[in-house]
Amino acid sequence: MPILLIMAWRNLWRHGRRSLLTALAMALGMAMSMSIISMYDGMFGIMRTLMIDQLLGHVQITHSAFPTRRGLYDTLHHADELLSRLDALPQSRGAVARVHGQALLGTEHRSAGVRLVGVEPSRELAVTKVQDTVPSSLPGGVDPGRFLADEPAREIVIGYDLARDLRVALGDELVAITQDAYGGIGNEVYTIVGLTRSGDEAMDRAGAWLHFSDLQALLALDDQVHEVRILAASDAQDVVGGLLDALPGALPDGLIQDDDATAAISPWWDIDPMAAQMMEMRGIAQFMVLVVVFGLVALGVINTMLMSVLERTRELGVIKALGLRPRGIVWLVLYEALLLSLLAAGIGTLLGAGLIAYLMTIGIPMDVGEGEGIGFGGIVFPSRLYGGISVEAFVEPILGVVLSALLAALLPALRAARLHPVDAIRAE
Amino acid sequence: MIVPFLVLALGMASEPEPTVEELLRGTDDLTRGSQSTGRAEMHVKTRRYERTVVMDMWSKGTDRTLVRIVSPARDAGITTLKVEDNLWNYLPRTDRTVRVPAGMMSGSWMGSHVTNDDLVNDSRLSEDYTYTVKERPEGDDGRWVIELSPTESAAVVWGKVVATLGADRLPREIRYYDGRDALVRTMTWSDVKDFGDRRIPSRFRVQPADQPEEFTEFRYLKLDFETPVPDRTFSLQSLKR
Repeated sequence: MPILLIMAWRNLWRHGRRSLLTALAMALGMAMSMSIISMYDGMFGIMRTLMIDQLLGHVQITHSAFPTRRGLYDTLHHADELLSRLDALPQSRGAVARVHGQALLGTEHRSAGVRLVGVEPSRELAVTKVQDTVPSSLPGGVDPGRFLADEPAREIVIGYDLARDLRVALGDELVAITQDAYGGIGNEVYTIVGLTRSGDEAMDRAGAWLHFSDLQALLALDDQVHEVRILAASDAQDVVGGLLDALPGALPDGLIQDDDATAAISPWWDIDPMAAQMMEMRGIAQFMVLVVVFGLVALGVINTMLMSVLERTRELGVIKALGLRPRGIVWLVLYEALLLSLLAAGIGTLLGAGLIAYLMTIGIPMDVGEGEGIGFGGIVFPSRLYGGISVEAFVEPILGVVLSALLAALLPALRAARLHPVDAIRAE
Repeated sequence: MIVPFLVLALGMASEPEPTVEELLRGTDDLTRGSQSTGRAEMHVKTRRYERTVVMDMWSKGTDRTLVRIVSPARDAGITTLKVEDNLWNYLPRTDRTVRVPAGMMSGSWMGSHVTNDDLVNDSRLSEDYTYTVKERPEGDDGRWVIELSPTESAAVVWGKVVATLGADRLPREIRYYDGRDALVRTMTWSDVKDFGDRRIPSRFRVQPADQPEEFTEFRYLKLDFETPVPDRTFSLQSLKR
């Protein structure tokens, strides 16, 4: 066997320039797929952060009517007890309670219907990434301010786009007016302390964050909340599944005080099936790209190996006449393709690693004007997209280049094996 | 038809044999008149909450009303001004005057079964409906039952209205039906009292048909048709007073 490997190595360098060119083409294809996977890692990483950490959580517990009706009275009681029980679950990274409301928000001159979300900032910090929705900078040098303080202080954080619509800035006062739980007119003045640009289009355009005690006071909701969301200890399906199994036992008595309702425990893929589909699209999209790239690589390999076999027809005939079995010939050609692909994999890994480093540090500008990124499915991507890094980004292209080369070499190898020694020696 | 209750005062002529038009006009203008001042209590019971709101009210003519909440403390000082078809709320906590936008006109007023639209809607039984008399009183016995259908041109959401009045010509009950003849709500008047030289029912109840355990009941605590009410009461400036 080793002798075949040595022969294959020597054959490879009999047309060194041709082999190198082929290897380079393969390496380029590989580097390309590595950077595409890196960009997918980056993009889907952002989507995942947005969807699970910011938008949905892994699991939400609500009044059974809340997901569809989002009614003021569709509340949970004893949220404190529920939260402390959830904190104790090993499958949970943490849980937060939220209050939701609608209000007319504005100044004397302008107002808009706005979605209000009440959060407990100290808890959110440890669990979700909601604090990150206030960016470190905004287009045009606008100061984004900060997220809400830990204690209720009638502060409000509003979407950057909403702030522009209302013509307000940090430090300005906004009045919220809504119908409270007793049918009265809930109204309060809040000071803007931060502007968000989260990528969640609904919140950036028409949303505001309040301390949940402030929102409970505005809505006259006492200590009721609308939603408890849980982040699982990890994204792994079995951890999220284990969390889902453990939750029904963790619900305190009196959580739901409506006779005709129950507690709903909803995993994120049920809350937003479209988001789940989008995340699944990644696997399909990545596979398609790999198929196309390595399909082209395989064509190059077929060409090179066919040439190599054709021009050595006489030589192969002699080897066969000397007693090498057809299986040996197949291995000889496959070894040559394997060595070629390993060479390509070496060059490709270096090239791809360089590209990934570039994508991770410098990224690709995706500016569609005024520092805004592309929006897709209710998510706005940042105006500069960065690549990610994963084991996949290396393993899949290396496997791809080697397997496609071997597969492509199979046809020329079988052809060579089927040669009749006498005909082959006579051929010219 | 709720307006008459909030809008206080009256103007009923006491002819020996009233025409149906006069009866309806009397109901329309039950509490209307040149001017009035009063205090009322509103008791609201819903599936979700039960609460009592005390309010002071001023009215002048048929289309100007000011209502100021006295209690509960959370809502005290909230003032509603109605001038013709416009409705404003003044919110003392935030020192804001908010005009009720068209989209919120069908919303509840102060959590009651009365909508903002009810407050400004000035459709009149005596003008916007055609009627058939189903029952007539004989002397002092019996009652008036009048079935009304809106005229083609009337801007009215009801398909049919059935009004019941006592032999004393005071309204007892009005039932509102939708376009498919299903009962939507019932209003009842009771507890007739003298306020100055006028006799009017001091209780008024709105009962939504689809929520039998819910209702809103108004009760006059004071009603005064004599004290002059200046025009400036009904201005945006006086909302904040």
